[in-house]
Amino acid sequence: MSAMPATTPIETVDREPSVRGLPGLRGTGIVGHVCAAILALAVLIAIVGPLLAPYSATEISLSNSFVGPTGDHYLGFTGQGADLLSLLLLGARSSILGPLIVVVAAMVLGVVVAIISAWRGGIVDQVLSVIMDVLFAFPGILLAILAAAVFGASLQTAAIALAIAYAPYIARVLRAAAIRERSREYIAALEVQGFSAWLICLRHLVPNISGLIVAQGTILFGYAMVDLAAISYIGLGVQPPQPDWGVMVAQGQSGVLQGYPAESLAAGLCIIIVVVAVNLLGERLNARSQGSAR
Amino acid sequence: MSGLVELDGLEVDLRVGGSMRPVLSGTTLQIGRGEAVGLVGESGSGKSMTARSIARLLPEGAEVRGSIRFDGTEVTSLRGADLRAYRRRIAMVFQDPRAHVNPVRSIGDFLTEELRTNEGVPRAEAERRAIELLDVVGIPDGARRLRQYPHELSGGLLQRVMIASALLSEPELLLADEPTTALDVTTQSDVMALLDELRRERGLAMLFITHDLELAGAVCDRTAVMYAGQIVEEQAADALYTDPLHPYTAALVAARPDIDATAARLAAIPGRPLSAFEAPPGCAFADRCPFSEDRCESERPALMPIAAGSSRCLRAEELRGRLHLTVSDV
Repeated sequence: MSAMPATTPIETVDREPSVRGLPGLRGTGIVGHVCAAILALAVLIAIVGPLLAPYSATEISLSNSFVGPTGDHYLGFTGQGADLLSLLLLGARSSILGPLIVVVAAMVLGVVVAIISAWRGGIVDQVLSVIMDVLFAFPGILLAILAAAVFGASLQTAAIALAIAYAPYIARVLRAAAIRERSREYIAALEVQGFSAWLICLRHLVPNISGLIVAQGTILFGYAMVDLAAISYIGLGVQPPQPDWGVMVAQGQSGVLQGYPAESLAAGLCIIIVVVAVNLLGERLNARSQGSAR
Repeated sequence: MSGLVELDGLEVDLRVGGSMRPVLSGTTLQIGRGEAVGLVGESGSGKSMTARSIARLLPEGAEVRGSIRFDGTEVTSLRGADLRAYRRRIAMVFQDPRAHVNPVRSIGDFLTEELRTNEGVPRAEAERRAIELLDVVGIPDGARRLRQYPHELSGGLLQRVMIASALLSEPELLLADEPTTALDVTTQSDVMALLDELRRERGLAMLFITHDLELAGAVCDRTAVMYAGQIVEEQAADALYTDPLHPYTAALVAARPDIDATAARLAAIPGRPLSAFEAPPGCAFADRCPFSEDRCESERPALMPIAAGSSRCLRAEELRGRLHLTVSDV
């Protein structure tokens, strides 16, 4: 048999090379695309909102308190006499930037912990898992209140506290995926080729669970947004007069009692629309990433 | 002969549900430079575990005793950068090529990653070398293949890519763990011929794991037979049929189907193969062996040199020459 020529070419079917691409919107359906469009609009407003806002947040005249929509003020005025539409446009920035900080920080922490746990296994995995379980027991809002008490109330403090509170949740989900991926044989083949663990993780393991990472991040964004709004509502997040949807819900409550719910309703509606869009998109991305996992 | 690889009394225990079970109990084997050694045996006899021990790919919690030396260096205690440097001197070809390649990376990425990362070869140069080697392994349109993905290639083609990948880093030892078992028969012989030719050309040492005695005989210089985590016989590959030194080998030879003979029923070895952890105090093969005596049940035989090879049988000397004939009549 060794007499057989070693260079017999094998016929194969010619197919178009498949495109891998970044985890896009493929397979998320109409709902996914609509949600993505809503989010894109929200992010756009967060970026250019201050340019669009016809009035500033500090242009207050108490004589306009609770005045309804007029020709120049499409949504009317808040209880303090500021332009409601302008406040919504200005508030988008901190309302979206806050959750974004939470998501990025929590994902980085969560991914690093998950990968170390999955790769090292054994005692390292057990210790990290116990630490994560202890952190898991702390509600995010409680941790944020503690942080605000120690470091002073601000958006950054609240966001970082929430990130730490959410990281175990992310780490737990990703650890399972990373362990599954780690045990696949191509990883062993890469090890035999003499690559370092970090290189294999960065180039192969993390990209191969990126679908799940993106999906988890999207779902987390929704939670973080609601929690940050709640923290701002109780006065420990964004500080007035900096505009923020969570702050607006809080400041509007006196209006609700007096029969003028416009401010709370409008800000609450903005939060709900963004959170629902994010969650629907996240669920679809998550389903897709699990469908594609072999 | 000073071997490239020397396994000496290698014992490996794996953790199975809280307790430790031996999978290798005293494997001793040498592979010289440029030498091909076949490792045959039934499933679960420890063939793959031997190769994985050499590549340091044992599952977590495995306990290793005894020694593995590669070019004089003790492998079992290597860590970090030393371990990576050692692994670059060996290469492994696996049974199922599809499972051993990252499915979302192109063939080009897969083939050139090691050169680019470990040796700092620029991408264009690495691709040129990969295309050259693809041509050597019988894939002529390499430039196009580099842009394809693993799922677009057939199993045989992908195994050729794996072989190219194994050769690209110019290793000294090739660990081939049943490289053709997952392929269909015609592809098998092509891939095997290729592996054999390239190995000889490059003076590469090889540990070739297979179920197929004949295949091992065709491509290997020496063959070792494993049973229950031990090597029971080891000698020149072509003498294995004509002059088996251990009753187990003789029984394996007799059980192999013969294309020229008409047999109502294939010969089989009575009983079932034992795993290393089930091995009795005496000879592991004793209760399936047609030649076993009382002392075989109580006395564990050592691997003793006999003729040009070695055998782990108490009666090896006295049975020599009779094994082949007698077993086929059993």
